[in-house]
Amino acid sequence: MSSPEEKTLILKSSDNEEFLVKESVAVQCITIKNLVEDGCDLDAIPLLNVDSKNLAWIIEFMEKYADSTSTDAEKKDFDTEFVKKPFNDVLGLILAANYLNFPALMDVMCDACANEMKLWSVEQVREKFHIQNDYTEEEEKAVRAENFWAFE
Amino acid sequence: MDEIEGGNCYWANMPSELLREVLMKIEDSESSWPARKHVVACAGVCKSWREIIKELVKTLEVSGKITFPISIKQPGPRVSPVQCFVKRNRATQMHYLYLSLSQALADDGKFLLAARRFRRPSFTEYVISLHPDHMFRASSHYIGKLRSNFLGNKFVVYDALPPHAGAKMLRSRSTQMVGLKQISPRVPAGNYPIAQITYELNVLGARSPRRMHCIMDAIPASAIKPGGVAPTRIDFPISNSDSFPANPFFRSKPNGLDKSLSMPLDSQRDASLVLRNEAPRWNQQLHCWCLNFHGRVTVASVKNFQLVASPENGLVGAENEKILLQFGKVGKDVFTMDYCYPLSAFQAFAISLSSFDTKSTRE
Repeated sequence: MSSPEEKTLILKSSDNEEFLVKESVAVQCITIKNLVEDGCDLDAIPLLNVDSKNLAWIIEFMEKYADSTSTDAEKKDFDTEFVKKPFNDVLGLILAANYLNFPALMDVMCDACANEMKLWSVEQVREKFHIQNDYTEEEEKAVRAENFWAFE
Repeated sequence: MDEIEGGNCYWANMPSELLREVLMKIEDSESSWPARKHVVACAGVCKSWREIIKELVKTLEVSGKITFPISIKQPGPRVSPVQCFVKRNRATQMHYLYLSLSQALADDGKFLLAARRFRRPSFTEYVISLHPDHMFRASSHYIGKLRSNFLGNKFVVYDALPPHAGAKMLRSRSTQMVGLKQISPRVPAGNYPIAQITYELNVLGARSPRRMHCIMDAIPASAIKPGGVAPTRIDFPISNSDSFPANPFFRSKPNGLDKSLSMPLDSQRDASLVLRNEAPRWNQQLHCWCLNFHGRVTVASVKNFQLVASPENGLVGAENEKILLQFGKVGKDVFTMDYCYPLSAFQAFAISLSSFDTKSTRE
């Protein structure tokens, strides 16, 4: 349980929403940890690349992981539920975790992303990632032959 | 359904180091087949994804994992052999090579190569391909072939691709390309002899096991000496596009990978690796010739063999004892095939197929 003197930080999302988080929880994000250690004296820490939707989720994740009473099994169950989000939210959290330098979240979200991708065909991956297929016709033929062999 | 931030498709612009994290997870977690197909699928998404995947995937020798089709052309791992099995269909004259996926001798497998036997008036030929429905030389799936002489005691293995820079190609009636100078962007299927296999009657007589002798022209004898390397192809050349490496070879060093621009010419001066079969011992009690197949071969057959390096290579001791290829029967039309460095799956398969065709030399 926290002591009355435990420091609280104000994290401000890119859309100007403010969130109160205990410092001991927030410093799981190395970016925030560095700011605190460098003696950041702003009232609120602006997180320019994280909107309120993502920040709320990140705080939820941080608090679960900072909780010393939760077991590994409980964290795993939490992760399983946490990642059940639309795919672009999964990608959004990866980007946010990268910006905040939050290794635990990064790991969980990259795993989730990888697990989703494994269910898709090459065309579906291109669609979900908005990727332009830059193979020539001949190369595409070779890619298809390669995939045929792999899926044989 | 997919949101677009600020009018930009930022997922396509995902920083490559983040994409790399995700692809690395896939490559790491999907190390066995059939799941490993997802690694290949990711490489098929676009060129930048292919670059990342190709950087993450190590050669068969280093990782012990078969990934892309080119793996069947790469030397196996040095320590533990790759365990495979072959299934023959006599009706269609087809032979299928599979990577073993379980401890069972020939049950669960990942398809690697197919071979189809063609009987001609003066020789027999096995066409080897990556696609079981495309068993002809003009196909883009064509890998190579095995051809026997009339007597069925001498065989040559041909590779569709040059084994190294400066390779000499067999001219055949149907070849349109002569020499190595590329006229068209596409690399044509050639006929590069890479191995010669000879079967001889044992001096002890017709009823004793025959002797096998293999000259591996595409592998220098130095490959199995300490610190030796074997030629390793990292990609099939398909066109002059940038997404595929212009120089599809590199040498693998024992401690890691080193990209060099072309195959070293000294591999041509090196003598070819010579293999011979391990001689079975006569077992008085069982009244038969025996080899220790370590449980991987369970049915006696004249086709069964183990290949080791021949003393002709000028090697000493342990280098001559390691079994580089083992092939043998485990059931009707089912055989196991285990191979390791410096042989590739293609070479091992071709050599094993020659064992099917050797005429019985009993007189």
